Amino acid sequence: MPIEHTPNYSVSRRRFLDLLLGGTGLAALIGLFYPIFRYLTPPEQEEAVVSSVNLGPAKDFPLNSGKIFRFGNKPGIIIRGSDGKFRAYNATCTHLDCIVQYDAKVEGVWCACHNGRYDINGRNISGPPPRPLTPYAVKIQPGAEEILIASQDGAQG
Amino acid sequence: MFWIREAQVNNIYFKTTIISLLIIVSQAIAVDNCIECHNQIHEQIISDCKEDAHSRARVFCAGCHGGNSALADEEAMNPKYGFVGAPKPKDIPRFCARCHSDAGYMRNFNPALPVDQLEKYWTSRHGELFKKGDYKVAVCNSCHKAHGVFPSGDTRSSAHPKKVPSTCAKCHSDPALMQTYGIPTHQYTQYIDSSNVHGYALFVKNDITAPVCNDCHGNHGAAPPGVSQVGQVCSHCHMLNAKLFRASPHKDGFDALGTMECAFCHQASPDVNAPLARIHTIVKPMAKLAGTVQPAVCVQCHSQGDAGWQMAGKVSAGSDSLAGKFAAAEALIKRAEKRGLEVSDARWQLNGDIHRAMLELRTAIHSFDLEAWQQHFDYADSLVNAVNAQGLHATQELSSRYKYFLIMTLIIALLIVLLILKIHQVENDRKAALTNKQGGIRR
Ligand code: FES
Repeated sequence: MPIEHTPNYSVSRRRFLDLLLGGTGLAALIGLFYPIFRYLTPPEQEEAVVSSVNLGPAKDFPLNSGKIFRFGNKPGIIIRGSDGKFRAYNATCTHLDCIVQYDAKVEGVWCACHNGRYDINGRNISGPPPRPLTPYAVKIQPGAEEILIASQDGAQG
Repeated sequence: MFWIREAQVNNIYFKTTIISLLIIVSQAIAVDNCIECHNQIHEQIISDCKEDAHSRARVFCAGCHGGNSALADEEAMNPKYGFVGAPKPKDIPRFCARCHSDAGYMRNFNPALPVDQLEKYWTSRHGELFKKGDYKVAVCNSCHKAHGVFPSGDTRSSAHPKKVPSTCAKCHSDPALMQTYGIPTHQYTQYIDSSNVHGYALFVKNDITAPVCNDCHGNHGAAPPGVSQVGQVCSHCHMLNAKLFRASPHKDGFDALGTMECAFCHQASPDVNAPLARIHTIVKPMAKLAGTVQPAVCVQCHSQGDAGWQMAGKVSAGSDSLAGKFAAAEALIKRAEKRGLEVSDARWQLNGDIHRAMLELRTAIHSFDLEAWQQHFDYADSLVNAVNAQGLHATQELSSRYKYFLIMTLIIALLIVLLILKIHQVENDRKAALTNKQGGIRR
């Protein structure tokens, strides 16, 4: 007697439906948990890019003085020369990264770490620093007379 | 009339231009007969001199050796033309000084060039011995070469900072030569040792401002700094440390012991019984240098119970604890940054104020004044503590996020399980109801 093949259509259809349901449910669960997972493990934060900073009224800066300010996560130095002109630089010494300071006696910038010296224009003039300080652009906001510092290329300096 | 004047002026310009051109062309084709004849026998010398400082200043062979380079035979070397040939070592300092000590002459080439080299040379150890008739000592060309002399900023110069150590080592690492003077020969090997911060900066980091032999010993007036002058020499770069040291009680003590001030503590493995043994290997300063156990240098002179010993103990313990706290704070902030938490103020403190406070603290050790050091320590410690608190606060926020997430996950999981159970229950109830119904009908 020949064997009769009767395909079980109803079973395979149910299985197919179950699979589809399971897959869709899993996708829905992933969709639900993914944002939570991202919330718990946020991407490593890029250093906030700061391209300008307001240092307040120009009148607060005496002649022949310098001050360290924060430019993003980097130190900046603003100098008001005895000529009244403002100049600003990245305050990181180009030798071994110490923070420089203004030396009013010689009207220049000094690095205490290895006695490195820069002139008021940020040029390295003696001691170990191999390069000039990176300059920032200084703008005086019209009207408010406030000092705005910006990196020269628009990026964080 | 105007056009006649204009023609005259043009004529003058024309003549001047032609004459200038003729001069330039005649100079270009002028033959230096020294080179023409010596080309074969002194090929190397001629090639060395090709672009050197003298050639560029148009000082050619005859400029130093005399003679008449316009003549093309041996007559060119007739003493009547001032021919001196190759100078003997005993003549060299004065030979070079003919030009280099003549301010008026040197002004033609570079008005800023110093002209006191010979004067300084006589004050150097080399010059002193030379005057006594020792002509084995270094003279001008020993360091600058005789031919192929370049300004010291030119990398081809044997006096370029990166070449100075090997230039000096030509003699100072020669045991046979140095034996005559009773001078050790290990300076060069000590200097190029990778643990020497200065040599490392020069050769590995390419920092040509790092001190080489002549920065501490002088160049034309080279002489070893005296025991009591080392601090002065180091102070050119390490100004604040040296200033504190020189005002401290250690200054006189070190001088009396002949321990070379800064160099004694900062050399590799200082040993009071051989205080000069490794002074050309200046190691990177580390906190462990101050303390009461080896490799701390204080134990070389101080003994248990004395004031120096006590200060060393306190400085060492303080430095260790601060370093530990700093490392922990930094790790905490790094972790917080990695997880996207806002800790930029803390980072700014770490890189700015704390970095500076730690440097100042390290500098303050050189006062050997416990009270002054303690003040710096308290300040740095308070800054580190504040950053630590900021980091902890930020990470606590993160851990509460985790806790919240865990609780919510458990609740949702529970909810799902309950839902499944509920569905099963409903399904079973439905099946049971259906079975009951069918049973009733059959009966
Ligand atoms: S770090 Fe500024 S001079 Fe060395």
